[in-house]
Amino acid sequence: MNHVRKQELPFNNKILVFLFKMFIFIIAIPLVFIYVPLRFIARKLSKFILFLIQAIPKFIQAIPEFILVISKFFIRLIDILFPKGKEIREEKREKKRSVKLEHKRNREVKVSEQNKLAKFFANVGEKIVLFLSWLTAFHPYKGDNVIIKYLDTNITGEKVEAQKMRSFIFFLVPALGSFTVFVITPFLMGVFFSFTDWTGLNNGNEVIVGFQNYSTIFSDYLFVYSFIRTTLYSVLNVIVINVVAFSLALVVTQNLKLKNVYRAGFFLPNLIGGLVLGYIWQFVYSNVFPAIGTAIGWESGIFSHSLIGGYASSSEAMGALIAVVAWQYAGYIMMIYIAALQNVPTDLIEASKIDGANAFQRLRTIIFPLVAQAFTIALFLTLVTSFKQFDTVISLTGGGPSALIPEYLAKIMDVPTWSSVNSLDLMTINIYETAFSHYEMGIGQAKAIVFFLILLIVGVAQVTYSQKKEVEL
Amino acid sequence: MNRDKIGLIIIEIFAFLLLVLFFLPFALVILNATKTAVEITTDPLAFAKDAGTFWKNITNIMTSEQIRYWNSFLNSIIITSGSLIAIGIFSGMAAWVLVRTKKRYSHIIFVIFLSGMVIPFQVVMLPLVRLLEAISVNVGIPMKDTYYGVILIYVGFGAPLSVFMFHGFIKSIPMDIEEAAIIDGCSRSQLFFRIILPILKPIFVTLLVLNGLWIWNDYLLPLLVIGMSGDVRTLPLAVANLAGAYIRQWDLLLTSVLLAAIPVVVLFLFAQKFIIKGMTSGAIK
Repeated sequence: MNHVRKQELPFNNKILVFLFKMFIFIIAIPLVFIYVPLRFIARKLSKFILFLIQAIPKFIQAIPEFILVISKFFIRLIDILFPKGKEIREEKREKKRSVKLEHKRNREVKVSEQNKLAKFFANVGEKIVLFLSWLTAFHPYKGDNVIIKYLDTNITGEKVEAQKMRSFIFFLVPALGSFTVFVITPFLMGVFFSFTDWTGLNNGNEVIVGFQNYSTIFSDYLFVYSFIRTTLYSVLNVIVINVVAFSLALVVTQNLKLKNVYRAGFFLPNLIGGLVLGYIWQFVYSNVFPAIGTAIGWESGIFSHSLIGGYASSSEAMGALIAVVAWQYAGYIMMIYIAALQNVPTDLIEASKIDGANAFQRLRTIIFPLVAQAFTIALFLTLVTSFKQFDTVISLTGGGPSALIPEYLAKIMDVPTWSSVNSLDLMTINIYETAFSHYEMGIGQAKAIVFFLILLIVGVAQVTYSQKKEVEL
Repeated sequence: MNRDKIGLIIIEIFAFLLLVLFFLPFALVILNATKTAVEITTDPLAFAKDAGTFWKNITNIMTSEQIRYWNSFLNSIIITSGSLIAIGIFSGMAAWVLVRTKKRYSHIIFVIFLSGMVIPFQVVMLPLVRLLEAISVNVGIPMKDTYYGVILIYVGFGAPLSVFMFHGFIKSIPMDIEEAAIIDGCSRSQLFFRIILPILKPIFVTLLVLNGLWIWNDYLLPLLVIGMSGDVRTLPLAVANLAGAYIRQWDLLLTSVLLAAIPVVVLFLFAQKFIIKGMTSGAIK
């Protein structure tokens, strides 16, 4: 087969390079650039500073002695060179001595007062020196650096606490570091950028515009429409998925012969990514359904036209999306319900059978209260994933088909009734489009923050409400 | 008794029909992956005229520049497995020291981790892209379109849930084991890697499944961090790239969809028990 083109080698240097880089990032860089230098610098610096502190006073003390020695040396030299000069000098010296003695006698009274003053200044000077040394973290009497001492007792030293702290940091840094760098930092940046006129092209030259972005998005009928559509979609989706999943779980927990096969089979679509599923269903909706329609001679609704290309109506698109997501997600939620249903004690059900309860009564009075906790979890999961839905929609219709704006919204937002909207323009897609198609990063970020707040409120409200219900049941 | 049996049989038939309905889309994909583009557009329900078309479609996908199947497949495997191992070990480490260090700051750090669970990716994505560019410009380490960059980002996004789950589990491990190991002369790192990590295995498997499915199927994060035509692009990106280029070439697209779905399905058939257990216990926790 010559027409098969040459493949790129799957195993090339890239993997080696990658492993090497991983090694560098995880082990070598923290070790070489953080830990070892810190320890090294701490020890060397503390010793050097200790040396300086001890050496400087000695040096200062040595200066007068040094001058004395040198001057004596020169005096001797002069004496040897000019012997007569010695006699003249000694005469002068004796004169001076006598004068000094007189002066001394006169002063003696004042000296005691002067001593007090000197002591006072010495005290103040000492305190100033202490304060300065505290400021620069050098403790002159203990002969060690306060900061380095702190580091030594708590991080770099050999004490047990220091070792524990070291391992604490070492074990925490990879997870906390990447979490801080790639989640917390962008989140905080995002909060800031939502108040600027960031467009993606003016990086570094953004201007803070206050709440302008937020007021823009709430007067933007596309965003309001997408919020309405997302809410509608989420509510319908949560209902459909949970009803389907719970009935599937009820079916599969019966004493069936192939029940494990059913469980695995219903679960299978959940394994395949939303993007790939979207393409599969786009094919089904655009090609297979119309073909079925022509085959059975019933050409209406989704059976008469393709989902993409502007033929479908907005409600059809919504229905199609919900069907796909329910098909994908019901198996997973079913597994949660199965786990809950298996915990329902069989003797309770037997007893209710003997008491003459029918299937519906059993479901209502025994099973529902006992699986209430599973309902909380399943509702929360489906709600959050519905709000976050992105890849399935992107591959299924790309956010389309476009439709006219609903009349009530046109009235509220005060836009012409012929304004066009995308019927599956969910909030996630709206954010993505705003940022990457219109290059309005600041507005997109503001939308994202609003999206986050909505998600937070909805999630918290749902969980608290369900837990209340749980207690009531 | 008899009535119950009849009821069971009816339910069995009903479940079987549902199963068939659930598998219909897959069947349609397989059916149409064996046909040429013309055959698909004329009648998507008919069988293929020539079985050799299937092989031809597959070789087309394998040699297609748009999808570069083996390359993308390998990238997906490297990124997924690398991220899984990194997330598991790193967040296990973090959770362990957070549980065992009973100080106020460890509690604060744990709460910070928990807050990460409520942040949706959409809030973070725009600044993240900018941050990655800033890192590559200012620090000189390219983070976009590299294995380690993607893996580190996945560690960041996967850490909250994993740390939370490990945290809950490690609390139940008695301290006696660790004390015994310390008396026997274990260092702190040996203590974690030889004693604690083996005990964490059940949670590790759960996280492997949860994070593995998420990372393998993720589309938006790789789209932003790697790019549609990046060097280390994953399978979903490759499929999206092909779909963007050949939106009407259903034969190629369906074959690529099939090839993208097969690895996970095969893995599921082998590790069904673990996957279902992992997914459910993960959700309930």
